[in-house]
This record gives sequence, structure tokens and C-alpha cells, in this order.
Amino acid sequence: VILVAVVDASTDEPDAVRVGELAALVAEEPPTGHGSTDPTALLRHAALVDDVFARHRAVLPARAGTTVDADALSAWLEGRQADLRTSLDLLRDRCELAVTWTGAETPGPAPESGSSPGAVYLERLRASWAGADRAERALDVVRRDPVVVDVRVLSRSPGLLKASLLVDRDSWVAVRDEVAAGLTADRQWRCTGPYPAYSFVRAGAPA
Amino acid sequence: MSGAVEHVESDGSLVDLLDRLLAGGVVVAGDVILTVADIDLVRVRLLALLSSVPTMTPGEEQSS
Repeated sequence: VILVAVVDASTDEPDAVRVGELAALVAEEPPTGHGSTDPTALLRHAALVDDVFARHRAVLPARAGTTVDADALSAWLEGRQADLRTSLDLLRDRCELAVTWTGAETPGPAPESGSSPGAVYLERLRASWAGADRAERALDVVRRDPVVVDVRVLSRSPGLLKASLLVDRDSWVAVRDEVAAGLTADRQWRCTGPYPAYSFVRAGAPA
Repeated sequence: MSGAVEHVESDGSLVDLLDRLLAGGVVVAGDVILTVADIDLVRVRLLALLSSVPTMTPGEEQSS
């Protein structure tokens, strides 16, 4: 089966695998193959998680394409019960927004005459990151906003910075309009969402 | 919005969604096979197990 999400055990889902206060919601593997993440399977997984997210206040969404032996699922829930419980409580009534900065690389200054090739290279490399650095500093303003619970930078490169904002479900519109609008005013930022809080759950150490 | 998920109309929303589907979320030991046009390109065995919310780990860098 494919793991869709972990939710509170109080769920009324008939096929949930329950251990203590937790319930794992699973789905049959897509017909396209064992655990495959082809586009159809990805969108199916997203739809399944969205459906769970719409019906439950606390949701730990599962990564797409993760297959698990149904018999082992109970043991997994049992072993990670405390972590999962804590995570569920933190994500209760919360969702994430995606913010993305795309900008042209900042051209470096003209090299001084006599500069070594190595110095020129390093200066250009430094300059190429300047845009992403500025974008990350702009996120600091968002991070200080009280309606934003957390900010995670997902990836960063000279012309691209991707981040996620964890916000209350009831306030995501306000965050998008008031906070993200400050970023998007320069047309180099994009804000989409809300999504289940995929980015605020992370892989841990092997059990 | 207590409940329904509404994705903001945007050219980038599908890309943003895929970023999250493939790089975030709870992971259980298992297999992921990246497939394009019915051809399996990459098979990844997931050995790492699962889940804690970064904000719960005091003293560990988490947001940058």
C-alpha cells in the first residue's frame, strides 16, 4: 500500500491503521507500477492528501510514492509514536505557502586590470550569489511576522530561492495578501498555496 | 479555510506542488521509482524513517 498521511486516531476512516493516538491512512498502489512516481501517480497522491487535509485538522502528509508493507506499518507507528504525536500537534490547523524568488544573476564588477584568473573567477562566483543572498534577507522580514509560524528555505542557487511558510489555516489568505505581497511587489517573487505542510515534516534517522 | 485546500492559480503552482510531493512529507522505509513515459529511470530505496517537525528541535538550525 501507499502511505497517504498520518492523522489522529479519532478519524472515522474505516481502513485506517491505528496505533495509540495515531492513525495511518493508506491507499492501494497505483496501477502504473510499484511505488512509481510518474505524473499520474504524483497527482493522484496529491489529491489523496488534499482530501485528507480537507477532512482533518492535523495531518502529516506522506511523501509521494512511498510504499510500505501493510504489516510493518503498525510497528512503524508504534516505534515513532512520540515523534509523530508531537509533529501532529504542531501542524494542527496549519498549512504551508510556497514562496519562490527567481532573478537574474547579478553581474559582477569588471575585474581590475592585473587580477589573477582565480581572483576574477572567485569574484564572479561571489557576485552570482548576491541576488539569492538578498532574497534570503527579504525572507527575514517575513520570518519576523507574527502570523508566520516558521520559514524554511528549501533550496538556494544563484538565480533561484525556494522557501515555505508555515501559517495557520485560518490566516493563509492574510499572509499571502499582506506578507507575501510585500515580496511579490518586485515581480521576482511568486507565492502559491496553501498546501498540506509537506515541508515541515522531515526524514529522521533510521530507526 | 478550515478544511478545503485551494491552490492559488499560478503557472508555478504545479511546480511548487511537485517540489513538496517529492522532497517533503513523512517517509517510511520503502521504494520510490521515478518513472517517465512508463520507463523506470531511478529507483530509490528509502531507508530513512520519518518525521519530526523542525521547529521542535531546539538548538538545531532549521529555517535557513
